[in-house]
Amino acid sequence: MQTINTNLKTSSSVIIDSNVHKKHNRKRNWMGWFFILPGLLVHILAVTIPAVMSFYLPFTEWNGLNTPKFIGIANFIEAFQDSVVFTALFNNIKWTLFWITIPLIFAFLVAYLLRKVNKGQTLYQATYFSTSIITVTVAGQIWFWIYNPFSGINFYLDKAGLGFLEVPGLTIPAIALFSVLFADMWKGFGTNVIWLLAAMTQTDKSLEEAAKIEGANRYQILRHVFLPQLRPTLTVITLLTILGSFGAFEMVYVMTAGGPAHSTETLSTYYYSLSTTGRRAGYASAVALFQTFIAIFIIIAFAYIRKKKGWDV
Amino acid sequence: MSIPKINWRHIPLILVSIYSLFPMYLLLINSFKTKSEIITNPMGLPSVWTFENYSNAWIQGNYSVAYINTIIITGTTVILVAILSGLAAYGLSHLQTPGSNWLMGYLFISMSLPVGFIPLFFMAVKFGLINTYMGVIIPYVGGGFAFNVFLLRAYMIGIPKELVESAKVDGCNSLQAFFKIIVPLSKPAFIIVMIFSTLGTWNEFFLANALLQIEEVRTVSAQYLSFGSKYSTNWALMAAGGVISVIPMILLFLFMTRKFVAGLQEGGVKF
Repeated sequence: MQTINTNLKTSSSVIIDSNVHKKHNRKRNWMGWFFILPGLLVHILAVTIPAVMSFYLPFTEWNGLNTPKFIGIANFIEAFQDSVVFTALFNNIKWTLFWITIPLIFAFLVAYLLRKVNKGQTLYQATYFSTSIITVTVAGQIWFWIYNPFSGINFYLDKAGLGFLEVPGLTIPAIALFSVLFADMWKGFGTNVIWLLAAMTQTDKSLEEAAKIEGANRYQILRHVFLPQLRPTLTVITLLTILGSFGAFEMVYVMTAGGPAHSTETLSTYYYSLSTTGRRAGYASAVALFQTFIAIFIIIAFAYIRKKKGWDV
Repeated sequence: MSIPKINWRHIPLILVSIYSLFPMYLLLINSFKTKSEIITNPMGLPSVWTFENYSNAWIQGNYSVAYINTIIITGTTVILVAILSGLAAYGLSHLQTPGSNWLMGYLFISMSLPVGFIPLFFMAVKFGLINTYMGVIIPYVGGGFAFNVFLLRAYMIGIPKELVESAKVDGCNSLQAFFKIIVPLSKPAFIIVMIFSTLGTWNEFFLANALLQIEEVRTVSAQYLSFGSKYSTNWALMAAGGVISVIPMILLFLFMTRKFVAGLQEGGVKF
């Protein structure tokens, strides 16, 4: 009883205190906006206004210079008849399927090995991440050169009797995208290693020990003890990877610029070239909005799965 | 289970390290060879170490101009990011600003909004910001604003309110309290925000390539592409240009390795 009383007393005094505080500070509270506004204005200018505009522009005919003319859904009708849009979409899908399998599994295995290494763990992480800090134009150029049949690498392979390894990757439409993907994986897998390792070091070791004592084998521990604890992180990484894959741009643009013959075009490279060189800003916006809808759909799908499965991310 | 002296896991991990480093080794090693030697000896060490490629690339790639552009753009962006995001994070963490929850929600939604590249590009055209530094600095600062505010705010929340209150009792106003108390105590978070802004801005290509269309204002990253379109057959020159383009970031990374890794780990755990 006494404790309740004292509790009540203290809590009520706190409430009174904070009220006094609030009254006292009300005038000064609004001061906070002076701190927020400068940055917020830049943000509104650079993010909000363009985002709002990108929902209106797709319904206009616009070359980027004149006043946008409202033309309804004509751009979307055109987009659905445009074979390049479908090529680009399928390339984005291929890009996604690649990135959520090979590089992700690879990064997972590397992180899994790295978890049990104490000496040089940071050095390994730094080494794998170091490829990410290379400017994309330079990274693209390195791989462009590696794939180039006249560069000397293939000549070297010939001499070593490894002719079968020759990849004139970027000139053959069928494998050009995969060649770009391989370069992109080299550049980007390190971040996933660091994230996965950070998640792995936070897993509960005692659960694994308990499972071991219960006689679970290594695979069972991995499957039923280890992986479920990583599920939130894996989900987030997968979501970010998929969203990133549908926005894939840089490596494609610097290595092939969407060629040969649109075979490596992605939605981003297509609307980028449409708007910057093609002077078709309205139509390009329609393609970009299509990409946005895909992203929104993916986010909603993930939210739905999370709710249904009850995963706490 | 016997415990071996050397952990066997180092073997695959070293192989992966080679996979990561080998293309960079190719870039570096070939920048010291003559054009003809690369054809006959693409992977080995150069027979004669030549430094001519570097002086040629510096001049022909117009790198002195590109460097100045990139330093101005990156420097301005990073300073603005630190000041504007820092002040906003302070306003959202320590000043009980009315409407701050609503603003946080808005910022969170804005992070998942599409990058309105096309409107941004043509706004730049309309306002005459094509081929100006400001044309890219504004979207760089604005684009990273939401994420940086969240990161800094998360750190500032941990600073006891009493410290700010006592500073005010001592006669500091809010702004002085920010610079005297908050900034020194949030230094680790500021450093992480600043190094990642530096890296991101230096390497940014998407906007830089679209908005900076003439050599006088191009950044290193975008400049290298036009350099490549001119000299793509001269790999020795291209390799030297590539090394010149990435060396500042490599140095930053070597000096700040732990900060980079820690920053990424923070980001990963935060999600």
